[in-house]
Amino acid sequence: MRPLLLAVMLAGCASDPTEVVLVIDSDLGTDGLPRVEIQVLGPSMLEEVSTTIDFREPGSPPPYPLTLGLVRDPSAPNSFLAVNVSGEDESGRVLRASARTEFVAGESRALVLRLDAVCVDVNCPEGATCREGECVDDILLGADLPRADDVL
Amino acid sequence: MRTLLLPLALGVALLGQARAAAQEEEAVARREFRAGLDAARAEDWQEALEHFERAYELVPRSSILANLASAQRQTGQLLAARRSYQLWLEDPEPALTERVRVELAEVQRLIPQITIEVDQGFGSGDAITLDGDEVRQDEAIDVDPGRRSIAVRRQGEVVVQVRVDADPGEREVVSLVVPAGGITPRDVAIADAVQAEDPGEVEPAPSRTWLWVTLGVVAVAGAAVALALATRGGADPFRGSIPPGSVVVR
Repeated sequence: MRPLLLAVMLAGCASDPTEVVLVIDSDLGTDGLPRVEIQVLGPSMLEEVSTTIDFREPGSPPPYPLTLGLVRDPSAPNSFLAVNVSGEDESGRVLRASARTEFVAGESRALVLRLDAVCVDVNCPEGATCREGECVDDILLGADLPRADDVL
Repeated sequence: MRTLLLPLALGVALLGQARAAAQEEEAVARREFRAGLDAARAEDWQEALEHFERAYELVPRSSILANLASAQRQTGQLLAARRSYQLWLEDPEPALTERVRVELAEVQRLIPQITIEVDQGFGSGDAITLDGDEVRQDEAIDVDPGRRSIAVRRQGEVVVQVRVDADPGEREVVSLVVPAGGITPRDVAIADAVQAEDPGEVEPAPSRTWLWVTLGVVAVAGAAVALALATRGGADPFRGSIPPGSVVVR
């Protein structure tokens, strides 16, 4: 029984992690949208990521798209994930995007959030996000997320 | 024109008041929702339930309903949890419908059922009650887990009473020996339940509560840091450009 268990464990190590790759892109470029705030809430509702990227600061990441791997801890109580991003242009106008989605077990999926010019100053109600200039429901089923390898 | 203006102004003022009241309710609901989340994090499900109930009363939104259902489930109110999940599925914009259906199926599986059988002593004027509500014999009745009281009433008074522990996922058949018609209500007996058979016991599923955090998420500023390259190697986690590149979330 023990060898079999070991084999199963090794097979588990070789499989893909359960992850969502967050991709933040913008048609405004780093000059048009130099500052982005990112918040990620994990399955336990705790804030797992809260960070600000300012491209004007030394040592800032390379230009868009910004990317971040989010790996689900196997002990997490469920598969849910919420992401909120907001950007601010030089004149202080704000762009926001959000998504509520879920991990897909054993797969790496991509969550693409765009902060495009058409969404400048579009204020969507809670539970909605601006996409192509219009407010739409921000829920994305895991099965609808593209595979990370197809996006990156 | 003046007579027209006055109702218009009054209407605008009333509209403004109504909007202000709605905003205040929304704000209170947000506070209740967050308090519910905090209580849930601390696994104080009773308190979480109370906060989610108040939030939902103020703002009947499906995101609150989901968490309310989870809290109801955690506090053993499986019938209420089922109602909440079903209500969510009736929402014109059902969120995460498939997920809710899975949760609903799990709750449904955990709801205990009691079937009450009576013998020939049960007369046409007798009535069976379960926790005070009249029920029919030979019908599977959904109940919440916990101690349930079953009685046979004759002329409004109890002639048989049993107490049954309904455990999650159990299907109980309770057979009652009812005194013949000549027995008066004064001959009340409190008998033990005769659990004749147990045809469909279901193993309770492990608790797997999920909550949703859509009400009142705010963007928070943090610290910007250094450069990280977007790389990926085999089955390793993806490393992105946002420091630290990869985060384990739980």
